[in-house]
Amino acid sequence: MNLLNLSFALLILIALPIAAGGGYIIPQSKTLSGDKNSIIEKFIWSWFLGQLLLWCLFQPIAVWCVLKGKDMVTLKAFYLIAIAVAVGVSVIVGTVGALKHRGNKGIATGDYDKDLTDKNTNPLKATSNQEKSKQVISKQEESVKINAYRILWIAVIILIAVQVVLQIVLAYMEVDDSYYVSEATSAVEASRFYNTIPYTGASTDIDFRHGLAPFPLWLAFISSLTGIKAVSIAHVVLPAVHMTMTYMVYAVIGRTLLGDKRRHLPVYMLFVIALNLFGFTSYMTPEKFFMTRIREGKATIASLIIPGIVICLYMILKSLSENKKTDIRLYIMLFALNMSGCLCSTLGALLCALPIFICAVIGAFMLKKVRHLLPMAAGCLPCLIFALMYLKF
Amino acid sequence: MWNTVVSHLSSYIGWGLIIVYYLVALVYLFITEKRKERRIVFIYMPMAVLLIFINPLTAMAMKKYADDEVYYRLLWMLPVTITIADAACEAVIRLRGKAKVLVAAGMLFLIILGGRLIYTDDRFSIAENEYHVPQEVADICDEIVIPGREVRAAFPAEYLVYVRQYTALVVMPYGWDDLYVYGTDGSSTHLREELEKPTVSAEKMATEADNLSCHYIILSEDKPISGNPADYGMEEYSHVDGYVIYKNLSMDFTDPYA
Repeated sequence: MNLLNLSFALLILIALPIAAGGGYIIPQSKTLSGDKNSIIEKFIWSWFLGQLLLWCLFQPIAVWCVLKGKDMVTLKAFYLIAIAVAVGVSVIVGTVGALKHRGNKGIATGDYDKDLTDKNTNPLKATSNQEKSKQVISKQEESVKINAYRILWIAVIILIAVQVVLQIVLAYMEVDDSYYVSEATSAVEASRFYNTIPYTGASTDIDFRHGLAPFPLWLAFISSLTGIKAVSIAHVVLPAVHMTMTYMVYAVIGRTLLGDKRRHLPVYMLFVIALNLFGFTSYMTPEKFFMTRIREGKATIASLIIPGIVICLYMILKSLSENKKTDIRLYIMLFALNMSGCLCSTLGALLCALPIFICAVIGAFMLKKVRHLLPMAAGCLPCLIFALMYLKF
Repeated sequence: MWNTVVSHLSSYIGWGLIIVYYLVALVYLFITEKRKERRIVFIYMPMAVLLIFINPLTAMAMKKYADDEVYYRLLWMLPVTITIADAACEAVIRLRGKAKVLVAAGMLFLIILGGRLIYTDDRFSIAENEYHVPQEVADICDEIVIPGREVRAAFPAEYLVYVRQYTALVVMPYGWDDLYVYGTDGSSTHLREELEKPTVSAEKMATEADNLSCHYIILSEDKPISGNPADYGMEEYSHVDGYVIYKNLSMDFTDPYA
């Protein structure tokens, strides 16, 4: 793995998803959570949505290749075309959005500092000396608070950076890797998809159960494109990138939930980091999977896809509750989350569809609205199709 | 089926208090949270998931249609981290001044106390290379691989998990799991049993290598061998990182690119 290969891998894992998702977010007037100003949040949403859309396209192509016994060349060719289409559509949507919102310069570098300062405390607006002096003191206090939150942000960034570095320098022995990572290696080096016993390499019939959730083939695709061995992609490159992405997604989740109290976001992030770092209460928790096995699809579903579904449902129900028009991008994201869930794990169909079903039904009763039921059901369509295929095979 | 539910639940909860904190957070949100969308996503949905999980009929369905070993994964639908962090943050936001800092620090301390640091897991080790596999595996595989074709090699048990992660060009007569044996009669287990004996018989090793079309056998340099492997067609091919690589001369080693 040299610097060139690594840069190429980072391009595929970071820049490409941003290109595929950016058009839906960056030039648009609002992020998915309705925020108008934060460029950082726009980039995080773009990265997350773009990655989901790319996984969403990968899943049907990869499953078709597995079922039809195709090779890596075919998979790469079809998926590269799909990526080009996804990026093209994103560019078109972005251009249309940019033209639509031309002149509306809402993008700034972040507004949490702005939140801290009450407009009424502006000394320039004060009328008497006493008021001026009070407002100057108040401004000083706010300045101290801003510095405190900045220190917390620095702590958050350091803690995340340390964990990312540890993903690279620490190896974690997991016997399941001898299935999933070996499957990826086999796909790259022998162009064989789920028709060998990964533990030994002996030929066998196609393993439909695992083949319907071909996350290892996505690792193989990145490996094949970059020239980095699949085992390095799985153990070093992907965990470092996905851990960063997951924490960023947690940050936008926190920002969405905190609403106008978003200056407390670093506090929220500290809780999230602590819960993940100290989440080794058993070998079964999502936090344990996230910290040790994020290279596996099932860890990705537990740490990234399900939190994504939760926040997506929250945003849809919030817009319904406030009698606002639901952003269509949320339904696109819900669909992509479902398809990505099916890519990650055969159990993904259930783990993604069930929370949506429950929230849709309870939402219909509590909010007395049924207009969300149809698009939500459409979002679950991939889960239904893959669940039926799973039962068939 | 009830036993399955209880066993998975207790295994999932494990030895920490995080689930207790989650339940406390749920109760806190139940009492304080008025916004409907939040109640649906963070209170009612998880409660429904818990009800579904503890229902023995669900366990029965999982056993029939999937794999009951993964039953605990239904609990992944509970947004534990998001909910605890959100409830803790909401509680902190309600406070003012020093109380805010003290309560936040106290709750972080409780999380640390009630959980267990992930890096205390003894399955972590310092990575030996960019592949995160033992260096011996990488070196031995590099020594025996013939580009463009497969070779079959029997490895010591401690490396079975790693070999095929590193390269697909090395196939093995047996994998880490004895259930996955190569051959129609499970004969690969004979080779493994022989190689795991305190003293390996050179004759039996060579016979089993022939039976399983094994190109190489890798043994620790410390492993005593009775008899001379060379007498039975097993050439001492190379020494790598404390291991001897025996080459089965009766096999074909044609290099497709030669």
